Amino acid sequence: MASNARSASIDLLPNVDAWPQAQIAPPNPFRYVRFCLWMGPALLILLILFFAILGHNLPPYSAALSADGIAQHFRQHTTSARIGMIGMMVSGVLYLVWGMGITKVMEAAERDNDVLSRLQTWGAGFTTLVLVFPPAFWLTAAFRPEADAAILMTLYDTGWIMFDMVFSLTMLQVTAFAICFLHDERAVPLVPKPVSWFAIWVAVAFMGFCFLPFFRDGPFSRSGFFNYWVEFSLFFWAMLILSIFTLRALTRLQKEHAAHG
Amino acid sequence: MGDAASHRHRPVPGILTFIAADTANFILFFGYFMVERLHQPALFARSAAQLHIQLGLLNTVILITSGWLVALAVEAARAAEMAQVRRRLLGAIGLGLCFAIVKAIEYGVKIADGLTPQTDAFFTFYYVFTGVHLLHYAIGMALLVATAVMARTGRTDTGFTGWIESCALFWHMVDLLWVFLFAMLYLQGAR
Amino acid sequence: MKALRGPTAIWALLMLATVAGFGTARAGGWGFAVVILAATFKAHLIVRHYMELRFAPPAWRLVFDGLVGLSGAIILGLHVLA
Repeated sequence: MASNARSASIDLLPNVDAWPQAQIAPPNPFRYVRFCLWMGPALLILLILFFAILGHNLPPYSAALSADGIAQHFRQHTTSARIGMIGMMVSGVLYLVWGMGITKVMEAAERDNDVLSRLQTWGAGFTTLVLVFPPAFWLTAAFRPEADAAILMTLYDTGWIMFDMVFSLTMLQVTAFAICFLHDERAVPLVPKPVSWFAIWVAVAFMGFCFLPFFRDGPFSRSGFFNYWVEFSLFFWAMLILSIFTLRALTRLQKEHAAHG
Repeated sequence: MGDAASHRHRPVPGILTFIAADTANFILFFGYFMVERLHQPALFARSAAQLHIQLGLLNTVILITSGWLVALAVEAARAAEMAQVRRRLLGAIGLGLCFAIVKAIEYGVKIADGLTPQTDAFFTFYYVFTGVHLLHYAIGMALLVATAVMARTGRTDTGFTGWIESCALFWHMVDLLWVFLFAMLYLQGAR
Repeated sequence: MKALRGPTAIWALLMLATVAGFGTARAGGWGFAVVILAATFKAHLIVRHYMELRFAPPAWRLVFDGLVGLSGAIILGLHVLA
């Protein structure tokens, strides 16, 4: 970036050395990073509004309901479901922006190579797809609420199965995050070790989604206590906790950068 | 062992955070199971009576003994006796394999008897809880195998001691959770 | 005392507690209380000695003693209520 600006200025100013050194801002490796990281909490709020409240997914409709029961949702709440799903599909991209912020903080902790920060970026990128594709199924159902109840139920189920069962993509993201910061050998680690272990625990707990296809009812079904309130909600807790601690790490990195020029 | 005083200020391995969170998750399992049991204690006791109590006991003994070997392996690692670390780990892994074999036999017999997660509330919990536990067991076994491979190269640095301590902690958690699962699922009768 | 604390002594205690708890297997009420007390004692031994929480700071010890105690208390308490 800086060298581009410099070469562009060559055409305008033949004598480059005459340019006063003080007027060129030093490169700032953390530009935009704080904004990126704040997109985590921002998306969290947007998801609660669009996905959970307007989409009536707090908790979702039980898989034990009849087709008519689920069709009733799209017929009754057509407009709020449409707005909710549009909002979710539009705001979902922020997850990648947030992931890129985390990548930049991870790069500061990486010593040997950038494998983990890259895997984290890809994990965040793929998780972004999880936030924008399932609502397309729910939006399709809300788009034609007069359709056959069995079709509406299938769309609803497909959306949820796509949403829950691709947890491995987010597992990749949080595991790469955790391994990276567990290997951080600073005296005071950039991200506290318990946060990394929490992230690993989230990754392991996500495995509980494997039970989802076996139950339509009870605590391990998609709307049940363990699958929804424990495991599914962990996705949101992880967003919150990772945001808090990467923002704190960024503050420290910026101070260190300022101190060392 | 130089004993207590010299180890007083041992730093706490970070993995304890994971273990605490995971154990808390299992406490939710225990609570949910027991609350469901309140509504139908007779059914739960009847279904529990269909489990093979001897196989459960065998697996308890296997895990306890395997945990003991891992604890001994950690002691050997601290003394930098790699040959002993390897022997004890291989013993723990060998015993650990028996746990999976017993579990496979148990699942096989249950399914052959037509007892599946869909049978009743008790068997749903039985399969899910032991399944989640089995996942932890599999992770623990993978960690033990990795540790045994690392010990083979004859490294004696402090990094290895920290690694084997963390893996041992994980393996002891598998043991710890099984102790409660065994008592709650297999040994609980009606009042 | 040293012999009593070594991994092998703990293993022996764990086996004893396993047998003690198995004696009243499939009982309800007091019999099950014995089962759970034996299990909680085993869990306590594992946490204190194998997981070496006895060397950890008091806060960590408290967390793990709490988790073990809570597990036993929840199971036994709700068993008695049934």
